[in-house]
Amino acid sequence: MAAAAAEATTDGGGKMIILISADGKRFEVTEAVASQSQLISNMIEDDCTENGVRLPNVDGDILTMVVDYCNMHAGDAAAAGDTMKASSTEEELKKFDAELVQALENPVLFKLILAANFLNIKSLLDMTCQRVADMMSGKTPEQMRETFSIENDFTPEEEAAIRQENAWAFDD
Amino acid sequence: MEEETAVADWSALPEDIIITVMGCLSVLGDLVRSGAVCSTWRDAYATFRRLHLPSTTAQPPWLLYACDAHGPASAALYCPATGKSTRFPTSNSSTPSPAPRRRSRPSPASTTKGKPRYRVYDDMGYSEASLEYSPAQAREWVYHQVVLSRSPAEGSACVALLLHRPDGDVSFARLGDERWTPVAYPGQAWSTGCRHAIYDDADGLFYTLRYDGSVYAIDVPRAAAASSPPATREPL
Repeated sequence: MAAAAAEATTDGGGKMIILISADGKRFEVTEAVASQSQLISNMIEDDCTENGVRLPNVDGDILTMVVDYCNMHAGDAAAAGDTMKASSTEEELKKFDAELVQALENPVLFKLILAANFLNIKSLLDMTCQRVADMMSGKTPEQMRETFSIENDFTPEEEAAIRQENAWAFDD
Repeated sequence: MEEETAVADWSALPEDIIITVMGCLSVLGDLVRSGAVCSTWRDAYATFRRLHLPSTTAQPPWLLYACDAHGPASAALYCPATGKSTRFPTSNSSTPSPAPRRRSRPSPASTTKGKPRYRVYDDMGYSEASLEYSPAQAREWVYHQVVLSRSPAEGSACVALLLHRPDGDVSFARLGDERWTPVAYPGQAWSTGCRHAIYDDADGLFYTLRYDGSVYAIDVPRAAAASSPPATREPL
């Protein structure tokens, strides 16, 4: 099989997998990197990654970020046979995560959350959800709507009832 | 990466993701306010509350308390970490209470038919004499919590409320009573699932908190008057 030949193992022994984004960009990553995605990990187990994994829900620019993240975090998991710069230290990882998450803004954050959810990468999903929570922190419902461009679809009566129900939270 | 290809529709975020976000909020007020943003977030908030999901981040602890200064119809949350304190009404029909709480007065205890609800003892089939526990054993086997209405030095004015193991059934007795009086919640055969109880000096009521977040008030004088002797026990 030609495809199988393309998946030649690297010197370290980790198989390579091709990820294909919605807009056709291809990313070659080791199994160790890719299997941080539970979705892909399951596919690897089921042996259906031979012809590359198509991810029709994930754009190339988002997948770039996801692959960066997974490369960075594959360190400890795949101590052996990892071609990327050895194992990142914990501090480096924290710095990387902090910088990544700080840089995230609407709508990239939104897409990255959906991608993390779809690919089922728990640590990335937790991190991005935490970022959203941080963006909501200390805000009134109006300010939250503004931050996330959400339309208020309550009737005035509904909204009054909601506020009334927990009036203490709407004091200011 | 700044291309504005598609506008993110945050209101269309899948519910499980909104719920994950809500679990990351470290301030209680933020969580409540997030439920007032739009109807999909509202639904997610309702699910979050209904499932009693915990916050995943370092949510500072809150103390729920009532005191004279707040009056009988109001409780407060105090957060030692932030020094913030928040009051909210707990009571009756005229003031809406926070979503998961309700308060009602259980009907006075009365069991004359069938098995008594004091199951901790009665279903075991032991003779009463064999059921004397040392304080340490009682603490470990018999009850979760005891609440006293006042100092035992005041004799029969002191009412003890017991939350039984293992199910959190509630019963009470005055000092000197021979038996415990089981408490039944309205519409229920007994009062199971209680996790915590307090006595409020101001209104003379015991308040119990159930595992599902509901709060019941127990008016001991009324309950006792309606069925004396407190609990009629069926012979085994």
